[in-house]
Amino acid sequence: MPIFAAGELVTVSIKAEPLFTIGPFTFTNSMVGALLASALLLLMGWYFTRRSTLVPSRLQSLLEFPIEWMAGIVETSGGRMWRGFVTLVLTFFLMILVANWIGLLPGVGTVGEVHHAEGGAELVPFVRPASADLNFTLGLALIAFVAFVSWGIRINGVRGYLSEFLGEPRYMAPLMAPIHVISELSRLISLSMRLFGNVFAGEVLLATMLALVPLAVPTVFIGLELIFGFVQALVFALLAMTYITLAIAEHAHPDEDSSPHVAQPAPAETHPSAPEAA
Amino acid sequence: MVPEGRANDVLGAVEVTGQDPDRGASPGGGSGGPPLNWALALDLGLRLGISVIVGIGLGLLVDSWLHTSPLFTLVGVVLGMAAAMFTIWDVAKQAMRR
Repeated sequence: MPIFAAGELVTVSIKAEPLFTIGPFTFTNSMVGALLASALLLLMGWYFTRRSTLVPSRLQSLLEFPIEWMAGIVETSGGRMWRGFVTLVLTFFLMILVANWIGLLPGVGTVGEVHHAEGGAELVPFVRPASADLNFTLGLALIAFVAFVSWGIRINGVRGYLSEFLGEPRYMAPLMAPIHVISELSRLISLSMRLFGNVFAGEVLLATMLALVPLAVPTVFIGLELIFGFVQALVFALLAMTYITLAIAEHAHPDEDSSPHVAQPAPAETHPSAPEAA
Repeated sequence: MVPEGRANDVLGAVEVTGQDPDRGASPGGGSGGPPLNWALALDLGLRLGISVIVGIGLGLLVDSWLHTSPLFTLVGVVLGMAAAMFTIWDVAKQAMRR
């Protein structure tokens, strides 16, 4: 990440730096970030399930708030099958949020091993925010991709999904199929690149500000990164939800679509003999 | 852990053909709303550029494989731009349907 050498430019490595290797497996500092985020979420989950009460304490309310808030959004916007993917959307949101915010903790990106290279001394931090590694964001995007494709297939069947893919009229299939493939791939890439780009740019910004003005000024940018980390987690989760909802909506039968689903209002109960307070 | 009864409630509601009586009457059950539209609007700009880049990338791959440069790169550019326009049309269609 940052190079701390007097009179030199600040550079931030675009790829995660390897820490050690176990056989063919290379362990990078972004993996440490991802594991820390997972451990923190597991700890929260353990606490939440062991100590939760019907009347929540302050800490329980604090933990419940983002879950209830996000679940409320999915319930409002996710269509009638929202319960099927609310857990996935919530997982995306919480994992990315925690992974992003871990990058703002003291010591993350600044405590590490100093490597002496030709251009100066390079610091390889022990922990790097997981979302600042394209492998992590691409992995999450792949999970979202599999989810919305599988929902599309689940709703319409393989044949129906493929027929949607080939388009109508059928003689246009040689043109429509590659267009659909590019369109689907662009979803995958936009999901992963947006998250990676924003978090990585935040890391570069923080490193630059720390190098330029080490006192007070970086605090403002850390505050901004706190907001950006939240917004990016929200955007990723909402887009994953949107794609799944659209996959369900796209492939639903037109007859089903037009059928009225509005619940009939229940006849109003009358209380002719309601006793009045004397 | 989630109580068994509650877990069954959640799983029971996930029926492909079933409908949640609480939901509205929009296509596919999606009621839309601001979060969905905001997410789509945020996504659209990036996807337009990425569609063209993906088209060019696939074209370059095919060209390097078949040694036909620049034929499929040009085809990729056209398909990428067509995919970008298709994306706009698709998003607009979904938004109007909601």
